[in-house]
Amino acid sequence: MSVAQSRQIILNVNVLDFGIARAAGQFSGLPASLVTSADYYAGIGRIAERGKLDAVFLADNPSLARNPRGRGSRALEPSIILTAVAEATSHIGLIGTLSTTYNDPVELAERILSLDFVSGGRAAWNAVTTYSPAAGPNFGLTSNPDRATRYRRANEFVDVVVGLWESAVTGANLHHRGEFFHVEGRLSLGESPQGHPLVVQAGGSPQGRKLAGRTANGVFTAEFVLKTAIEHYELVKTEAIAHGRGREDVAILPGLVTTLGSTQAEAKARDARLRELAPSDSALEMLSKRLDFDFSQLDLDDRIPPEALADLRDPQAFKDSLGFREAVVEVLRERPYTVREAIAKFGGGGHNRIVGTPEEVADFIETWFRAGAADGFNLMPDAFPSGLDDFVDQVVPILRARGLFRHEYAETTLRQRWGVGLTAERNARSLAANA
Amino acid sequence: MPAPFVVGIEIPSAELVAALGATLASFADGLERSGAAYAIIGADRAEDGSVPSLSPTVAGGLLARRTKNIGLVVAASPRRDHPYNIARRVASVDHVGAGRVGLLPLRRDRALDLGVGEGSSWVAGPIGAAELADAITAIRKLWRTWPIETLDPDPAVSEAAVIRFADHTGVFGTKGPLNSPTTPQGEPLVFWQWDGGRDRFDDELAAARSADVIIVDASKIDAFLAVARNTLATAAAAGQPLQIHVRAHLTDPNDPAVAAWRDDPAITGLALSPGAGGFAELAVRLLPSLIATLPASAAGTTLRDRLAIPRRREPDLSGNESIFAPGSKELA
Repeated sequence: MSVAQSRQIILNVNVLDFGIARAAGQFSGLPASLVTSADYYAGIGRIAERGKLDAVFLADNPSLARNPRGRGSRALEPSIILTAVAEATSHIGLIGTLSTTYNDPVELAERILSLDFVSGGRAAWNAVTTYSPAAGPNFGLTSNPDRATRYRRANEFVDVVVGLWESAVTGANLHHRGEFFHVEGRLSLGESPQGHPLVVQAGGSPQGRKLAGRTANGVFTAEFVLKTAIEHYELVKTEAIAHGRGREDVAILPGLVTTLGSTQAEAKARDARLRELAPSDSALEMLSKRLDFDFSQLDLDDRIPPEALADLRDPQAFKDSLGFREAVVEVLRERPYTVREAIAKFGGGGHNRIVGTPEEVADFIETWFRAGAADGFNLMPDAFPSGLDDFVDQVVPILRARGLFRHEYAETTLRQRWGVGLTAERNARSLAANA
Repeated sequence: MPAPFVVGIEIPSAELVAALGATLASFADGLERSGAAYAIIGADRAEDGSVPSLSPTVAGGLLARRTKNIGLVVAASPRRDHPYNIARRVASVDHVGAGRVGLLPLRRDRALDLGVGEGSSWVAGPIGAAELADAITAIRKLWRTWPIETLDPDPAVSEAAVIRFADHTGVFGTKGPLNSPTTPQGEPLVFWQWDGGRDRFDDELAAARSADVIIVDASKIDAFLAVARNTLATAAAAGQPLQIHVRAHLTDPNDPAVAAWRDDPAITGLALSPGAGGFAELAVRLLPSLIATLPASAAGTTLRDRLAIPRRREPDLSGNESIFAPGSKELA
């Protein structure tokens, strides 16, 4: 029996406010002002906990990235939203995205450790370097630091944060002097109910995979093609082993966008309604941004020209996500696509997308899990709350019937649930083994 | 509008950490029953970084969910925390708390010292009164960039509201807009802990005018008012009133000092820090007896209403460039 068959699938829900669909709020009849409501997020957390999902995940970007009129925009900071979700739930994990470029590691370490205390040991930090060009000027910079600098800082930043968390467990002061940070001492908080928070990492660039393999307990990835997903999965696992960690210490979690219906026709009708409500050019703009190519001059039925899919002359200078671009380009190179087909395939986002029945979604999840392409998924329902309700009520029971997903929570902390040991324990085991 | 006389209370950081879990409900209940107009979270971090302490904004978010009435003033220092992040988290807590939140900026947050020395993460050099005032101005500008009216379901309202850049170019530069909109009380209140030592008196007083409330230790209040009284009167006459709250340890609700402070028109409140008896002694026993001797405070659900602090005119962003004009294209 393979390792994958004996393990359970990890399922997080990525709460993109009203959903990933452009018109999610309108579709669900949610007023835009609900983005300032902690009750709204607490309610989503309760639905996820009803489905016994692993964790609530919040993406983040420290800038107002879009016009909030009509459909809202992220309006509350993730650690504050997750504190409200912690108050409303008892078991679900809480994963907050916070930038390594636009935070201080000591402050961030204390903030997430505080969330870990408040939630009784359910917190994790998703470390991102932030590629949004709008963020830099909010922090007094004329532009974002280049990719290489961001990742050098991210590597050191994660070391400081984890070092501070470990010092909270061991009681020994951290002594760190590096290119970006000089930190001496330890936080006032001691060990949390799970020791310390977990680390998640998002990003599919080569630097991102290296960082994940070295430090992360989970990786949020963008994958479209099973074969490539398996290769990337192995790259991160190999990287983890190279750093003295176990394969099981890092879970690979691709994003998965779902539009569910009890029949194919119902799912397609839901998808059609979501598209009908969205402005016609929004998906085209998104594709232009993702590929760094202006599609506005092309007709929807034109073929995508090869130059749109060419390798970047200077990947380090690319402003958007390299991981997303790589994933999209790989699919579009497989055969000629029209602009219209590309928009349908990617739905404006950078993740696999299924419009279908609960069985089809469960089949996809099981196939990727058993093939060694994923340890689980970061679910991205088209529209909350119905997209998550339907997943919990219709997909989760199928996965349970197949022996792939829990019926009840057996553990109280996220660390126990994901079976991740503390580094201090691992070091002790390694010392004992070498003695 | 005459300011009411209010009483605030400092929450000892270690006591809140100790209350997490089963006893949090009674802790929050004690806060509400105390009758205090506001509770300060993290003030003790300015003096002692060694006692167990939660990140004040996370603690504020937690107590905002557990309470309904009491104001919550959260400490933050721009030494390690950029004003953009402070503005965003404090505004977020203010949304969660339905407009009951204030900010207490600290020059130095000793809980986060850890080798930062006299420097800071975002600017060269230490944070003095002028730098702290600049951070407050940056934060206030950010708080005003995204009007909540843009989220109104009526397009006539949402499209009339203008989102603007903060375009702050002081010690702490920030472009904006902030990704948290204006709050139920417009924006959080800002408090200032009077230092009265490290800067020249006039320099600190000029800097403190960026706040809404100045908290002055009981040991320094007479010296403070001897110099500042005229400035305060001038500021009030110019429509920029500053409230003065006296920070004191109190063991007796009938302490004659309280009556003297209450009768001084320049003083509008007390910020009480617990003595040896701890928070429970102060909140449960002493405070209700003290508050019973005071006139009823102003009605209202927001901290701004309860302290009767009007929203100040400055900083005025009306001349700043706008972003996301209604119907504009976007990349999201």
